Amino acid sequence: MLQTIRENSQGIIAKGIVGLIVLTFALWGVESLVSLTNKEPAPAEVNGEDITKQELFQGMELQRRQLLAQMGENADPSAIDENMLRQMVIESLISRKVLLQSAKDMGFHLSDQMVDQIIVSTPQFQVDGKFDRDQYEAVLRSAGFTPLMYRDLIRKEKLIQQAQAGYVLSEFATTEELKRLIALDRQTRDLAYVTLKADPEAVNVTEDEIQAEYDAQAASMVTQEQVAVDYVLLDRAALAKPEQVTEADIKAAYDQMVAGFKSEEERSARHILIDINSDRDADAALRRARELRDEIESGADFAEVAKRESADLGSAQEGGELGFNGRGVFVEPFEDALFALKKGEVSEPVRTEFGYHLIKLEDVKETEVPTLAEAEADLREQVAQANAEQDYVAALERLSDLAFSSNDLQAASEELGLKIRSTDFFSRAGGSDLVSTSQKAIDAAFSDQVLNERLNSDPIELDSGRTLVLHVRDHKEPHQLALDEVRDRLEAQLRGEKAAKALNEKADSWLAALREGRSLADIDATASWEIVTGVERGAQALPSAVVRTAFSMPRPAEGVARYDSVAMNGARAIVALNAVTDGSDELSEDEQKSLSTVIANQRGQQIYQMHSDALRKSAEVEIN
Amino acid sequence: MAELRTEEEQIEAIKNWWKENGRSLLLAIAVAVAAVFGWQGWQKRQDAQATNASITYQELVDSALALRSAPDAGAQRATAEHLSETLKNDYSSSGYAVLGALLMAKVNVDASDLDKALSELVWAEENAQEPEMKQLAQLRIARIKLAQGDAAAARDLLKSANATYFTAAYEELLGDAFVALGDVAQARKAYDSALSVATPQAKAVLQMKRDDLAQGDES
Repeated sequence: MLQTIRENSQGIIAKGIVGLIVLTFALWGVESLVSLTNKEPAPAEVNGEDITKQELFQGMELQRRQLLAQMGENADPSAIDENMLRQMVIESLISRKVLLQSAKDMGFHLSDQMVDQIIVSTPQFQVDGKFDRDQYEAVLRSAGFTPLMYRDLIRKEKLIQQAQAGYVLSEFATTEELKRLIALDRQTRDLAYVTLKADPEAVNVTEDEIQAEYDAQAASMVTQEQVAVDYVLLDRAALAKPEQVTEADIKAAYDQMVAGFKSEEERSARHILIDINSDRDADAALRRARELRDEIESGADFAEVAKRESADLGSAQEGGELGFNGRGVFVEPFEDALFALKKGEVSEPVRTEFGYHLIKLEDVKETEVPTLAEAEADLREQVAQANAEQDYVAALERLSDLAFSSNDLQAASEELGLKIRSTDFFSRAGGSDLVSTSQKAIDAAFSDQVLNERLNSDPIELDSGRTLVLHVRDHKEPHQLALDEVRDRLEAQLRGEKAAKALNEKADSWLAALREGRSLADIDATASWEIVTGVERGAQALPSAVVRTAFSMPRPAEGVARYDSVAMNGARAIVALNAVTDGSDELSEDEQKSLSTVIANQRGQQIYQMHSDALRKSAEVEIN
Repeated sequence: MAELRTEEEQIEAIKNWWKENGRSLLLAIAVAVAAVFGWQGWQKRQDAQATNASITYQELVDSALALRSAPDAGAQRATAEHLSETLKNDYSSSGYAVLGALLMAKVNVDASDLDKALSELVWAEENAQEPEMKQLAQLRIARIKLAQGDAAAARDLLKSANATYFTAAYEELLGDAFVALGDVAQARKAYDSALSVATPQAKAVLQMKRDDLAQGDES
């Protein structure tokens, strides 16, 4: 047989086949075979370039960590919606990808040496001001990167940054533009306004109307299904018996505490929060923070400024006082800044999730080892709690058996000495007592086993020290609400609607009369204008709707007021605009300099946003 | 067939083949090797070029940043000037040169030298490869013209640009130009169309400009 193979393999056809195989490998390499078996598509494709699974995975991992860090101590990984996370990360990866592609199209380039340079000069990788390889690898490992991945990331980020710098930093503001803006911003207006309130008591609502509204809404007026339950609660804290702890146990615990004691530093500080809100973006907040800092540096009392300016209402009244605190109390950037301060010093603005803070360090104290007498009460409690833990675990096991083996809570109550308690009715939406505020308990109460078969629930762990078992006492099916039960609500609703309509008609007729030239006193002798002159755009003392309306109204002719009206939370204000005073466009050199930086930077950000939006829009993206 | 020949005959055949084709084969190999090395060398040169441009550009960015906090520093400005000239002369085809010119325009606006800023922008506009970059340069040229008091030129430039990028900024500037020309109705129209496409961040200032031109509904 071998002979036949040998002979055949030398035939023309066999050579042809071998030739073809050789050609395939030569042209397409091993991948041509491997890729045949591995056809799973990449998560997304951007202008013909893949976003790899690994990139997506890494991005999601990073985002997940950040989200959990934001949630703080009670972080619950299951609360993160995987699908949403995935979408969010894909979208941001696509944006990065198009920016990177555009940077490369523009001929941007970063050599290996340049990447090295960036890594070596990163402060996080340095020990005593010098690059340290161990430190570098440790930091990368804790962030979940290999050196190769990190280099790639740095290269991409830097390329994008170079382009970004070009777009943002090259934006400018000419003196003429600044003058126009500042004149507009400083413009003041003289106005007057009168507020008309809706009066629900003054309108008539007939029985017929209520009946008609009831008929129209009947379908939605149904009560929710409700249950009331009995339960027994096993509470670890109740099992603790501090009075039974022996002196010897306390001494032992004290010795252990002394051995593990490290003196911990506590710092007393004041702070001022400049928050970021819809009226004030991050740049503006930072600017304000710098201004306040200058004010304090030039002699203003920190506490006074805090009282006046701090958006942290809790501490503002106390002059920003925060008291003595150790590490682990404040968010990280705040803590870092606080513990870097010298006594009496005021920090630079510190950015946290709440806004910008100015921090002043008042005092520092080291805590010392307490004496046995001082610590005794705490230690007794601690030891008692630790002992209770064992009792709790044993009781928990027994509770589980008893709940399973009997049809009600009687047995568990008697044997474990737990009182049977009852709740009011609550729906699936929950209520306000111990049981109906726990989603786990609510789910259990409405479960088939508990509600329909009337069995005891399984033990439900509310937290690490409290567990309950519940049993349904009573059950209310959903039912249609009768007219009598909802009459008052419907009447109030109808009154509200009618009053709002009446208010609008009244405001419109007043407005028309005013525009015809009649005076307010002539329309209604009891009404009078609230007159305010020289109102600025950002005026706080007036309702913001009134200010906004006044500034969007056309300029009045000399001596002839303009009128308009605006809705305000159950009321309507009629606004009269009497005069517009253009703002001065005078700018000192310093003002011009700082304003031009701010405006140019804002415009730069906007231009860059348009740039990346346009790239994203024109990109060919396929999401799999 | 080949397998029928004796060993000597085969060797003879190979020798003959070599005599006929050896020279051209060697030549082909030499050409291939030269091509590979040439390609690699060229590639290396390109990389080196791009790296130099990148480093120069980065220095220019740093310099522009320094100038932003202290715009009067004459020596710093000279440095920036020099870096940007290097980019323009040695790497004119790279995107770095165009962005560099845009940066220099900003530096010159801050130093109140609008003429110099204008010439930087014109260079950027002429040398930009991508339409987007060209339009950005044009937009800024129009802003300089407006600042120089030539609102009509700014208006004509903006209208003839037929911008497809940065449309919100184009419309806003057109509004500014009309305001300078005293044509309130046209300015209003331009601001309105800017408002319809602007990003939320840009809207506050735009709304302020637009509101100032509000028209009475009863007049």
